[in-house]
Amino acid sequence: MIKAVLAIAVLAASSALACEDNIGVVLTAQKQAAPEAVIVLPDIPLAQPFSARIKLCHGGFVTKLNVDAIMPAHQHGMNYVPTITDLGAGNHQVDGLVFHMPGIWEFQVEVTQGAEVNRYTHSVTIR
Amino acid sequence: MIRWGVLTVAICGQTAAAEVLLTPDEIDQTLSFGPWPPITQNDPSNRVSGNAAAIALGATLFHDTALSVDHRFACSSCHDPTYSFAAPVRRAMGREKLARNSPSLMNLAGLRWYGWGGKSDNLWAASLHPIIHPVEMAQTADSWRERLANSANAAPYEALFGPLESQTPQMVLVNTAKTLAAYQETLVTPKTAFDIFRDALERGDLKTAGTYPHSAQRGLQLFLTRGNCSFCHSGPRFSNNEFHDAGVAYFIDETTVDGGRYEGLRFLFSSPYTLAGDWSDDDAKSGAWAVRNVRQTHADFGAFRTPSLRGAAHTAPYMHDGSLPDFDAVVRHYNEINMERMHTDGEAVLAPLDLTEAEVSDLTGFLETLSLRE
Ligand code: HEC
Ligand code: HEC
Repeated sequence: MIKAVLAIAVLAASSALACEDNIGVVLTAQKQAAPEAVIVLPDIPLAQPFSARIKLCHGGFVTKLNVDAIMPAHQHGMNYVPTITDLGAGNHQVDGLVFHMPGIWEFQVEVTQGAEVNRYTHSVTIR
Repeated sequence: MIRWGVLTVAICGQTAAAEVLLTPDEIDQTLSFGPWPPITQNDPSNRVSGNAAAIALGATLFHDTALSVDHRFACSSCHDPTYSFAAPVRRAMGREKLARNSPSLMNLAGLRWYGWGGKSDNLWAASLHPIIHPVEMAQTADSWRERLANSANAAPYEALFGPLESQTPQMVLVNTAKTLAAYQETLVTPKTAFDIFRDALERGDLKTAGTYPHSAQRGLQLFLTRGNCSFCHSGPRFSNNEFHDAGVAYFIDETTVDGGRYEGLRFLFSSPYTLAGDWSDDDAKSGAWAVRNVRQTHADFGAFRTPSLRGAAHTAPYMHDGSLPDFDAVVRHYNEINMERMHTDGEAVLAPLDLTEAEVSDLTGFLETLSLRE
């Protein structure tokens, strides 16, 4: 069992973690050519506000970044609109996220860079 | 934590196997309902939160009919300490019959929303509204300042807040509500049979955990699994403190409906007494993100705040309109939930449960263990 856990950890280190500083999880891009973006998440508490960090790995000017989340199984989203702060160099702070029910939540991130719009998702399971 | 669960069950497999019926995963979920009581901080929006003199004045005022314009009601008329600060009637009786059931006032410190529709984002605002509500205590800020100034409560009030004559009536009203809130923050339900079980599981003390009745354990399992109850009744208070349509009719009478969260938000957005407003004593406005960022959706209509289940055995009848007389009726309500009453985009987690009679009684028995019976 321990070996299996290690193997997963190594796998995670090589594939899911990204950007130079190796923190966060790579968001799943809708288009293959989309620039790489990562999300840095805390241990998400149930029904309590939490913050996340979203980073575009190779920087570039972000015109607009939108973050939302839904529960695909229950046909509903969050009861709050998160607050997004541009920290520069492709970094964004996302505050006021609340996942008020346990289950699978899907982050939906939309990054506008000039005329280009890229959409990303990332799923987490909340207990 | 999950691995630990596997371990304990493995051990108990050899010794007292039958005593703890939960799977490791269920044990893990059970731990999330505690510890109890939760640690709460003083409310930064209320500068007298946690202040002993304010708590004492709030306690006096709570039970004082002087708070209502014609001395007809005290807060305790509808929030009766004998019934865990609720009232044993379906809909509260004010100057006329109100649309909703009086909720218990236990365990209210530090919540994000108050009221069935969440019309307040803090406890002092939730305590202020009944004072001026025309069908409740029907004061105005002026009439209340006048009443207070001519009463024995003027001295303790001034000791806390300074001379009455230098304060506007609205300021006196807010300060009064803040003492009521300080008092209510001290109302906490005690540990129950459930907490003894939960804490024992956390310690790995299966002998103690095993004394929790099997029927309650089976009820807890239903609560966590097939019943889907913990989707909304989660955390140490058994409430996510958010808003849902639990399939209760929202007709008040033949022609009026209770808009629930929809009305709550309308009220909230027009209230000067929110955490984002000037009456909050918190310069950082720390809790204000919720009122600023809460999202209005069409699902708000007919949605109500998930009530806590702690101490609920003492607060029948149930639901926002008090329409269900006891736990048995509540469990049967969920068991046979009428999907036609739900919004078309209603909660996908609610569906008829197909529980047997024995299971209904297990689930009811579990709910009982969240209250302390004398
Ligand atoms: C006439 C009956 C009545 C009186 C008098 C009354 N209340 Fe209430 N109270 C209610 C009802 C009904 C509700 C639910 C209202 C709603 O959700 O819209 C309520 C809700 C509350 C809540 C919110 C509880 C929660 O779970 O969010 C608080 C706090 C509260 N009352 C405090 C007080 C205080 C303090 C007083 C005295 C100043 C008072 N009430 C007087 C009937 C009453
Ligand atoms: C979708 C969220 C949700 C689920 C799932 C859910 N509840 Fe509820 N529960 C609520 C809401 C919301 C209310 C108040 C409804 C109203 O007044 O209209 C409530 C009310 C109650 C009450 C009455 C409490 C009071 O003080 O009035 C009890 C008891 C209760 N639920 C138990 C359960 C049990 C047992 C289950 C599982 C069979 C369950 N709930 C599943 C949201 C939920």
